[in-house]
Amino acid sequence: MTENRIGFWGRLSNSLPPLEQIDRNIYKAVAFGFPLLTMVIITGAVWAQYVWQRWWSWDPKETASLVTWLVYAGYLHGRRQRQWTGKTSALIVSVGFLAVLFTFAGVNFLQSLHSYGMASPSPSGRILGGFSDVDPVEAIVTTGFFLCYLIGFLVMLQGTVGGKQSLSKVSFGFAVAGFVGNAVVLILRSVQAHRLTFTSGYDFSLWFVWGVTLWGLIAYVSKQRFALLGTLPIALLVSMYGYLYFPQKGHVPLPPALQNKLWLHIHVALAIFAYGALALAAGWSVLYLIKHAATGAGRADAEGKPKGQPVGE
Amino acid sequence: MTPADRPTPEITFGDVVRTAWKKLKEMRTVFQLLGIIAIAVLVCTVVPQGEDPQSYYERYGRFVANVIVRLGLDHVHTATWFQVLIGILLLSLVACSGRLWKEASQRWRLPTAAAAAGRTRGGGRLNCLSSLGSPQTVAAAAPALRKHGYHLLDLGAVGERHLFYAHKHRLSAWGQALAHYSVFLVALGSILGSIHGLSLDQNINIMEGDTFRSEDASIPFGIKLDRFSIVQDPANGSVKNYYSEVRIIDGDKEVLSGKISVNHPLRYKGYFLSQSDWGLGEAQIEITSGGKTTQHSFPLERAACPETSPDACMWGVPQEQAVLFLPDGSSALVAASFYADAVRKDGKVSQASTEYPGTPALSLTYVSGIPGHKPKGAAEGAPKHGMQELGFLLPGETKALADGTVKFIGITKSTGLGVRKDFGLPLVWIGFITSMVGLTMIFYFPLQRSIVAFEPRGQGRTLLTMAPYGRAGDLADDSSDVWQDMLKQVGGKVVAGSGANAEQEESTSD
Repeated sequence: MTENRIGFWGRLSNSLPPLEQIDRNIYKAVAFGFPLLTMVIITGAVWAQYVWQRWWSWDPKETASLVTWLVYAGYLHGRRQRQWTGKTSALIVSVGFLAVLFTFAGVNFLQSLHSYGMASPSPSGRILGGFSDVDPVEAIVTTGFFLCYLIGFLVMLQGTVGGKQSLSKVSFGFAVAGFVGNAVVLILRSVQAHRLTFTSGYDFSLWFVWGVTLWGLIAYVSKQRFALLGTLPIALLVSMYGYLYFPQKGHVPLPPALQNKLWLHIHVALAIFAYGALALAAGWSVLYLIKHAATGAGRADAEGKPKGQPVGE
Repeated sequence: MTPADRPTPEITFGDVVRTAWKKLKEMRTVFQLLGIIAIAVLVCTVVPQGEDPQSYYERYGRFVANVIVRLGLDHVHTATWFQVLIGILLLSLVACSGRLWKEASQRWRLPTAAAAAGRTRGGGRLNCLSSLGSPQTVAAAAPALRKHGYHLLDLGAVGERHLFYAHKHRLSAWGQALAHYSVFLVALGSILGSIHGLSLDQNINIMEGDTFRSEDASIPFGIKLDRFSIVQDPANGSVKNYYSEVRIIDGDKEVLSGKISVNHPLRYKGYFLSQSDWGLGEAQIEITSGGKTTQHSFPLERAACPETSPDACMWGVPQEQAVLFLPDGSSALVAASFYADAVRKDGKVSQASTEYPGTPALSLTYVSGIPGHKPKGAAEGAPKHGMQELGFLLPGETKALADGTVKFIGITKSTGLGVRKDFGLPLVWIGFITSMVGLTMIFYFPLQRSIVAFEPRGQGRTLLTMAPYGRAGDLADDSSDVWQDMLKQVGGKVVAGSGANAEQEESTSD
């Protein structure tokens, strides 16, 4: 039993790129996502000033975003100034993404200005969501894209552990199919609502999943083949959260504060891309930590062996 | 002289300042400060802010509530300790970022030939031996560099080597300094925006027909509310917007009139008036008795708003103000019930599903012969006590009293306006723009600098060397791609370095 487990992690670890390469991939994703995250906060502040004449209200979502920003700012500074690489930086990036998830989901449990667009979850609905109030076609396609992501992930995992590179193409195919299905659901919902459905909690979870997969696919075609192994589980996790937490998936009328379309759309669109990039970084971080643990690189670190390339200024 | 005999060095004020400044310059200090601030803001996300101390006692118990109140955790963002922390963070940022301007100007400066020669002496990071002559190699390599967006600066010859400075996104040399100072600007703007007297953040309520004038003259003009209305979507009853038709009165003159709604504030003299709340004012009635008609009103307030469905708020008349004595002195009207929006079906009045004012309904009870209240002009003796339920009245409806009538005129509404003036706002906006520019420069258009050297070797060959100048970020470090393209153009053979012989050749050629 134990041997099997070791074998699984060992094979997975052996197929992954070298730690230095994963570390660079993490940095690239964070370096792309961090300016976007900053812009999300800034456009949110501009929007708040426009609506409430108060650019910062210490609302839970704002506060959580700020803390998330500080975590990633800390990572980037540590890496540039102190050559933080390896396990420490992978851990910081993982914590940063937990902060992203808290910003997205955790604050729903607190009183927030951002809960405007949330359909109120009922206690029974939290246990099991359902598609009772959506179009049957939408329900089928939603289930379909979820299954595509799930199969894509399992195939990628099998290919990686089994050392069959050809399976990664099959996984990529499923991820693309899921991504297209995800986009179809978003289009269907926008057509039904006569607007871009950005604002309700359930809608944003669908966009979030789409953004995460988009970055996974971009990374895949940019020669980061194993990126899907990190991003698909995150896409599945967010999908499940959206399904379970929001029992009412129908369209919610927009309150007046959310009818400021320009800034709102810029703000949410940036959030989708920023969260996607940071999810990619988090996916790589988890893979880094798995490989680090499986290859005993921790012992190598302790013995003073090089952890990774020091990075630029 | 033994160490004990040595005089203890005197610690001057300057020493203290220098030590503090040195401490502030450390990145560790910035992180520690940011950590404390992050914990503080997380605490205030969990602990409700600005509530009555009693509510903390009820919610958390005496000990925790005492800690919350004593430490100012009930108003973290305005607490002195929090402002001091932000102030120290600002100083730390200034101290930390001071060197960034120096570094930026160093990166911005073009290298001298001597400095560039030093970078490529003994071979660069990438070396190739071309079979072409030096001028031909230059002619072949330059287009590959330009194709990747590099600008080439001819630094001239040092010895036999011909040196070029290849760079792109030179403006991005300032990116780090801009990004760091933007944080400083935003924090400074935030502090200025919270200084009382310079800035204002106030919520006011005005009833239809009333004029608001601030008692402490913090708002230097009057605001008159003509009308407040709520526009609902007939399809689903959701609110489309809230509208306040207001007039600004400066001194005695009406200077501006306009409609304020959510997302459409009104601006006057640097003050922003935004729609933030609404309410009902009064239920107005008209009593006719003995040929005289008088108008009266019952104040209205939100009675209950269930947390689970805020749209189902109830409105009502406060109990202590629900009794209206009539002019005869011994009878009264009691407001028994009130619906902001009601429907009458089969003679029965019931509340509509939302709190929004539609067709209001007021239920009245007529009480006569109140003990201790003698009717004016009545004969001695106890008045006859009686109670008559008048039932619900819709606007315009009249009911008969013992010696007159009562008519429900309707309700007045009130608006809640946010009046804000933020002195630090321009700094915040500049900070935001600066941070976006700075971060875009650092991460999306990073400065790339290389020295490219061409050195003639025997038999008409040329050693092509490329070395990074300064440190480059690894996000968009495209030197490998550039190098591959150059190799294709030059058609040379990659070598590990110029080696010891080359070193020797160089020393002789220099």
